[in-house]
Amino acid sequence: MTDLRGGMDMKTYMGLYTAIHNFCTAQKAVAGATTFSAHNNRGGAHLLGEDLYQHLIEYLKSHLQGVQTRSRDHVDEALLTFYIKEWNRYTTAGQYNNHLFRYLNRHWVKREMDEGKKNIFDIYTLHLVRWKEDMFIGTQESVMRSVLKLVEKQRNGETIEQSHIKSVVDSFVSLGLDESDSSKSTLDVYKEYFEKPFLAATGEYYNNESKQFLAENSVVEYMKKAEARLDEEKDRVPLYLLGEIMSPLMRTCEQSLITSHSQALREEFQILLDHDKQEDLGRMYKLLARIPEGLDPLRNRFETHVRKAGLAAVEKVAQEGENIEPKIYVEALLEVHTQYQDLVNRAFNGESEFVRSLDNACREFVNRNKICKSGSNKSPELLAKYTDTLLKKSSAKMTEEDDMEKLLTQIMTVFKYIEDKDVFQKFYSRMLAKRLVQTTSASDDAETSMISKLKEACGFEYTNKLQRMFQDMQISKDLNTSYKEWLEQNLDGEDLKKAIDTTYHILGTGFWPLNAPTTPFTPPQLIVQTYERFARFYNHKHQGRKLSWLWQLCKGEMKANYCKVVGTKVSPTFQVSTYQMAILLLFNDSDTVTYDEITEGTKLGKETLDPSLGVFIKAKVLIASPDGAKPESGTTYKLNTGFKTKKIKVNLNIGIKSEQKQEVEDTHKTIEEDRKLLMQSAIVRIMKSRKKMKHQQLVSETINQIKNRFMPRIPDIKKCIDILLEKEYLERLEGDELGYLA
Amino acid sequence: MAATASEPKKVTLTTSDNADISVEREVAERSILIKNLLEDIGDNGDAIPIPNVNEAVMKKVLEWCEQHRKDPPASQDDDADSRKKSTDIDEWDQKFMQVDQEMLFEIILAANYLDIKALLDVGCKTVANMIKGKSPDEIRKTFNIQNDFTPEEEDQIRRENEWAEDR
Amino acid sequence: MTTQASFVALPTEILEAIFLHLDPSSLIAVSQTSNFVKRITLDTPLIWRHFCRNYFKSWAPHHNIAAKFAGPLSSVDWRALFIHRVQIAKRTIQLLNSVLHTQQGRIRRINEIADFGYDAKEVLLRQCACPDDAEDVLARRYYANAVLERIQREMAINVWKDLYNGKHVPIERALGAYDMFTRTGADVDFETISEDLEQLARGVREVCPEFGHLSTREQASALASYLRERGFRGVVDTSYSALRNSFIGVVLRSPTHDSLPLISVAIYCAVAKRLGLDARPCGFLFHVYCLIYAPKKHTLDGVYKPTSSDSLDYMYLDPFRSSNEVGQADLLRILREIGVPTSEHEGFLSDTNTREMVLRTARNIMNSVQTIRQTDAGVYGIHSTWLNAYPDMDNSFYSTIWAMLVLGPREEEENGGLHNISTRRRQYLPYLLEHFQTHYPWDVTLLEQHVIPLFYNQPEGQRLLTFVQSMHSMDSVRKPVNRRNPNRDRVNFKVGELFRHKRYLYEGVITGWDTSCDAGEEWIEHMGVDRLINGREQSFYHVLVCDKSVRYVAEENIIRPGGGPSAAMLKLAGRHFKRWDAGSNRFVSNVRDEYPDD
Repeated sequence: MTDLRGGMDMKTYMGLYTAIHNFCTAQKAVAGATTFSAHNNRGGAHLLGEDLYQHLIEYLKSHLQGVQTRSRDHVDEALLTFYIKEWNRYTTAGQYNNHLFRYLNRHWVKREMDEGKKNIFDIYTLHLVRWKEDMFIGTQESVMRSVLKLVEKQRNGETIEQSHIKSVVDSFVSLGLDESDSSKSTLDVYKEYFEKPFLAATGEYYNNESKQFLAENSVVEYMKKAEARLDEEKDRVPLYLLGEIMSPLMRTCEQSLITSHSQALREEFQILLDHDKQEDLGRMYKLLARIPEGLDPLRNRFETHVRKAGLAAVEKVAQEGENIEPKIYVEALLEVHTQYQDLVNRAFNGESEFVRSLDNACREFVNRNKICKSGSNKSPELLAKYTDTLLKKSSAKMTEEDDMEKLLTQIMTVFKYIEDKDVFQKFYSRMLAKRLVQTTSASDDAETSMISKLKEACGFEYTNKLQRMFQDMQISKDLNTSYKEWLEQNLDGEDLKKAIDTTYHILGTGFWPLNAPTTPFTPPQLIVQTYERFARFYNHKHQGRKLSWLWQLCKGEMKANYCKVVGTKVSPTFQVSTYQMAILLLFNDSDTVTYDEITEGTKLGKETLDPSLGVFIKAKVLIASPDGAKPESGTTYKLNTGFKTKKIKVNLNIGIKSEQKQEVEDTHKTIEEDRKLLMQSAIVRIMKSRKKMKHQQLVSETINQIKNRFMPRIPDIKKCIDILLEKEYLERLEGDELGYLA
Repeated sequence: MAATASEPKKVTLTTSDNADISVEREVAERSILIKNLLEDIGDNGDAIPIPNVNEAVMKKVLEWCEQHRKDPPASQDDDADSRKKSTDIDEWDQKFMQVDQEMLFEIILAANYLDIKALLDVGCKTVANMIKGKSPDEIRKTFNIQNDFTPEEEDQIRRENEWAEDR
Repeated sequence: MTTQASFVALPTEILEAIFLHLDPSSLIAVSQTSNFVKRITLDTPLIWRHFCRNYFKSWAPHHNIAAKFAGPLSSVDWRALFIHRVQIAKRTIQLLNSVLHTQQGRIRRINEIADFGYDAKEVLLRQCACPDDAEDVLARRYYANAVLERIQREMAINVWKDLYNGKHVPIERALGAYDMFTRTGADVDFETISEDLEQLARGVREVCPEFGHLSTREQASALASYLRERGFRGVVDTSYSALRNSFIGVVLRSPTHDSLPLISVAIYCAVAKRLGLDARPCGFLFHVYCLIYAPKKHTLDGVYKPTSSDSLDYMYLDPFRSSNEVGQADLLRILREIGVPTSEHEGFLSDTNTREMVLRTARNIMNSVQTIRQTDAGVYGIHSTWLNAYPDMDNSFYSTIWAMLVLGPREEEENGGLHNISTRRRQYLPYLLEHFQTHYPWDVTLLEQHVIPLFYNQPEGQRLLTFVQSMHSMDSVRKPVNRRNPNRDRVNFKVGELFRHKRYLYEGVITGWDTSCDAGEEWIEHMGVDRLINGREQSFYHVLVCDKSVRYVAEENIIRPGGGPSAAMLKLAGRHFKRWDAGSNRFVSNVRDEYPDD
C-alpha cells in the first residue's frame, strides 16, 4: 500500500484488488475448520474484513501524522499551498483505494452499516474521516489564520490568490460527514471551522473600520462607504466562498456597518429632510431597510416632518386674510403632498409603510390646520368651491381636457384625506345644482368624470343624487324638444308667433338641494299664460305630478324697444330675473309707476323687491323720483327712455351677496341634521341585524360604518342612541346591553 | 471516457492460465473492476491480468457481457432486500446458464470477483430455482451436501419449523 | 485459487444472495440439509427482514415497522417477527372459519381478530377475494370484509381521538380517517394517501427542479398550477354534492379527482408541507381557501425582510377554482356583502385547525348522504339505491356520527361546562345506536371503549353499559333452535328463499320465521295486522330487504319471484347465507344453528 500513485501499473492494481478479494473470500478455510459458536452470527469474512479495515486505519493514521508534522514548517500562504497540495494527493489516493477495496465495500462495509454501526464507513469516506481526525483537527486553526490574513489583505485592497481560499473551502466542505448517514454530507465542519471564524473576523474588521471612518468623515460620506463595502462583500461570495454564506455574511456586515451606527444615521435624517437631499435620503433608506425595524423611527420623523410642512404652508395662506381663495388653499395643500410623494417614490422606493406615513401626515394637516381651527368643515368647503370654479364656464381659462383631468385627479388626492366627506358632498351638490340650472357648467364630460371619481372613492350612495340631477337635465332637454313639437301642432300660426320662447327644467324634488322661493310673487299675466300652457302639456304627459315653480332661479330676456344701442338701429336686450321682469313689465302700461303699485302688482317681499329695484336704478334703467329716494312707499319710478348702452345684451340679473352667505350657513346647518340622521340609521341597521349588543360595541361598530363619510364624535353617537331609546327603537337590557325593538 | 467514433476500442485480458483474450472495452467494462481500473490507471495498451479467472470461465463470462453490453448500468444503491426478489430469468440467460454445476458456480464466483452484479444475480437465481420446491433430501442430492445432523437435531429442527406447516 | 467450485464452498455472501431469492418454505427446506446451511439461514437476519418486507405489506401501528426497517438490521429479531405474523394469519383464518360456522360467539371472535388490527388485513383481503365457487363464498366475503371494516374503524377513531387530545395529526391523516372508516381494499390506507401525496410532491420537483429556490408566491402558484394540470380542479356544480368528493383517499385515486373545496385545500396543504411550503386551510364562509405563509423574516416574494416581529406575510389561494392568488380585499368584500359583523371577519380570514376541518367534512358528508336519501326516497320508494353510492352511504353516515361524537363539543368552547357538552353529545347517540344495531353489532367493543367513557356519570352511561353487557351475554349463548314441526306445518317458505312483497313490491330474503305473529301488541296495532286477510294467526317471516332494512312480514304478503337475486341482495346476503344455489333457487342457509331444518 503506497500512497503515491504516480506510476502504478495494471499488475500492481490487479494484484492488490485480488489479494483483498481472496483475503475476504478465504473464510471458508477458517469457517470450515472451526465450527464457530452459533452466537457469533457473522462469518469469517466479517472477522477478516474487520482486520483489513483496521490495518488500513493504522496506515492512514501514520501517514497523516507525517503530513501534519511537515505542515508545521509552513506558515501563511506557504501553509495554504502545502495543505492544498497534500489534500489533493490524499483524496486522489482515497479514490484509488476506494476501488481497490471495493470488495470490502461491497460486502463487509455494507453489512456493518446495515447493522447500524456508527463508525464504519466506505473506504473513501474513511479517508476523509481520518483526515479530519488526524490532520484537520490539528491544523485547521493555523490554516484558517492564514486564510483570514489573506482575506484581510484583499479587503485592504491588495491582490491575492483567491483559488487558495476556494480550495480550502472545498476541503472543509468535503469533511462534513453526516454521522447518521455517511452517504450524505453536511456543512457542519465548514460552518464550525470556516464560517464561524470568517464571520467573526469580518465583523471585527468592519467594526473597526466603520468606527474610524465615522470619526473622520461625515455621515453622508459614511453611507457611501458602507454601501460600497456591502456591495463588495456580496461580490466576494461567488468568487471563492460557498453561496450558503451569503445570508449570514450580509447579516454580519449589516450588524457592523449599519446596526451599530443606526443612531448616528437616524440623527442625520432630519437634516437631510430639511435640505431635501433625495439621493442621500435614498441611500439611508436602503441601508436602514436592511436591518430589523431600521426604518420605524424614520417613518415617525418623516410623518412629523410632512405634517409640519403642511401646517406651515396653510399658515402662510391664512396670513393672506379672512377671505381665502379656494384655489390658493388647495394648491398649497397639493404642493406639500406632491413634494413628499415624490420623495417617497424616489428615495423610499414607494414603500407602502412610508406611503402610510405620508397619508397620515396629510390627513392630519388637511383636516386640522389653522384655517380649519373652527372645525374640520373648512377644508371640504374650500375644496368644493375650488372644484366649482374649475367646472364653471369661464372665458378666462379654457382649460384643455387633459389639464382638466389632471386638476380633477389632484382634487381627488385632497379629497382622499378629507374626513368630513359629507360636507364636501353638500357643498358640491349645491354648486352642481347651480351650475346645471344656470347652465354655467363648462363641460358635461368634466362633470361626469368628476362624479365617477367620487363614486369610485365613496360608492354609489355618495353620488346617487348627483347623478339624478344630471339625468334630470337630460330629461328636461328632451322634454323641451317635444314641447316645441307639441306647440307647433296645437297652436295656430298667430298664437305661435305671439308665444314667448321658453325653456323649462324639471327637477325632481328630493334630489336637488333647492328651496322654495322665500318671497310671495305674482307673476305677470304673460308669464302665467305661458307656463300654464306648459303645465297642460306636462300634466298630459305625466299625470298626477305637481309642478312648483322656483321663481328665484328663473330668468329671462326682454327687448327694450324704446331705445337703441348707441350707433346702431338695434334695441338692446335686458337679461333679468323673473322678479325683475315682473317689475319692468309694469312699465309697459305706464312710464311712471309708484313703489306701492309695484308692491301691489308683483306681491314681492321688500327684501327681494328693494335690491331688484336697486339694480335698475344703478344701471339707470329706471329713475327714482324724487332723485335718490329710498325704495319705499311714496317713491315713484320712471322709465329712463334716454337709456344709453353700447352693449346689445345688458345683464341686470346680478346675484345678491347676502344670499350667498346665507346659503353657506344653511349648508352647514343641514350637515349637522343629516349627520344625526346618518348615525341613527346606522345604529338601527346594526341593531336590526344583531338584535342585542353591548353599548360600547355598538358605538365602535357605528363609527366603523360611517367613518368614511365623516368622523363621528362619541358623545354624538351616544346622544343618537338616547334619542332612539326615547323613540322606542331600542331598549335597555340587563348589564350594558341594548336590544332592538322591531 | 469519450467514445471513439470509428474503431471500437479493444483491451486485452490475461487469464489465470495465461491466455490473452482481446475484447471490446465496452464489453469488458460490464465488469466494474475493469471499468474502475481503466478509469484509474488509464488504458496504456497493456494486457490486464485477471489472476482469479481461467480462460474457459472468462470466455463464458465475456459471452454474457457481449449479450448484455447495452444494458443500463445497475443503480448504485439497490439494497439487496428492498425490491421484490423474483426468480424470473429471461430466456437467453436461462439458456446461457444451462451448464454443469461446476461451471455454474465458477461463473458465479467470477461474477462476484469481477463485480458484474447482473450476472451474479442471474447465477444466484439459477441456483435458487434449483432449490425451489425440493425436499431437504432432494436438495442434498442436487448439491451433494452431506447430512451431518444427529437424530436429536433432526427432531429439534422439525419442532422449530412447525409454524411453517400448512402454509 | 484451486478450490473446486461447489455449493457449500461458495462464500457466505453468495449463499445469502441465493437464499434471498427463495420463498419461506424453500428456505426452510434448504435449512434442513446440513448444520452449515442451517446456521447461515438462521444467522442471516437479512433474509428474514426480506420476508417480512415482501410477504406482509400491512403492519399494525404498534410494530412501528417503518422505523424498524430503517434501523440497524440486528436490533430486531426478524425471524421471530416473521413467524409471529405467519401465526397471526393462521389464527385469523381459524377464527374467521368459526365465525362462519356458528352465530354463537360471533361477536367475540370478530373482535378477537380485530385485536390483531392491521396485521390481519392481508389475510382478510385474501378471504374477501376468495373464489366465486367457494362453498361459503357470500358469507366469507361478507364477514372478512366486516372484520376488516371493524379494524379500520377503530384505527380511524383512534386518529380522531389523538386529534382531540391535542396530538399533532397531519391533515391528510385526520381526513383520511373517513376513507378508513368507510372503504376497504388493498389501497385503502393512511400510507397510500401519504404515498400519493408524496408522489405529487415528487412530481412538482420533477416538473420544476428549481422549486426550492422560488419565492413563496411563486412556489404557491407553481404548486397550484401543477395540481390543476394533474386534474385537481374541484368539481362542477352538477355533481358538487356527490359523496365521493369528501374523501381525500378517493379524490387522490379517482381519475377525475373531483373534490369539494375543503379536500382540494387539504391536498394542497399536504403536498405543500412535503415541499417545505407553509400552507394552511382557511375556513371561509361557504368555501375553504388556502392561506400561505412566507418564511420568517421574508416577504412572499422571497425578499429578506428584517423584522423582529413574529407575524408572517401571507396570501390566499383558491385551489378549488384556479391557481391565481385571491386578494384579501375580495374576501372582505364578500364578508361585508353577506353582512358578517366586522368583529367576526378575523375568524373567517385566519387559518382553521385540523379538528375544525374534520368536523366540517362530517357536515359535508352528512349533507351528501341526506341529499341522496331525499332524492332517492322521493323517486324510488324501497329500493337498493345504496348500491350506487360510493363510499357506502351507511358507512359514511356512521363515520360522521363517530367524528362528531369524538371531536364534536370541546370543553373550552362551552360556557355551560361539562353538562352542556354531554347534552350536545347526547343528540348523536340515537343515530349511533340505530346504525350500530342494524349494521355493525360487532362494534360493541368500540362502544365500550370509546363511547361509554364519554357519558361517564351520566344516566346514558349506565344504560349503555347494561346494553353492552346484554349484547355480550346474548352472543355467548346458543341461539334458540326453531325446528319444523310437521304438526304445525303452516310455514310455507324456507329460510333463504327470495321473495317480492305483494304490496310494496320490494325484493327480500327470508332469514327466519315464526308460526304466528310474535311482535308486541303495540306493533300489531300500529301495523294493522288484524286487518290482514289471515290476521295474526299466520306464519310471519323475518326478512332482509334489499334496502338493507330488516322487516317482519306476514305470509300472505309474500310472493315467489321468477329470477335470481339482485346485485344488492348478493352483497347483503352473506350475513346470513353461504351462497346462492341456482338449482334450488334459494340462498344456502348459514343459520342452521337456529333453523336446522331449513
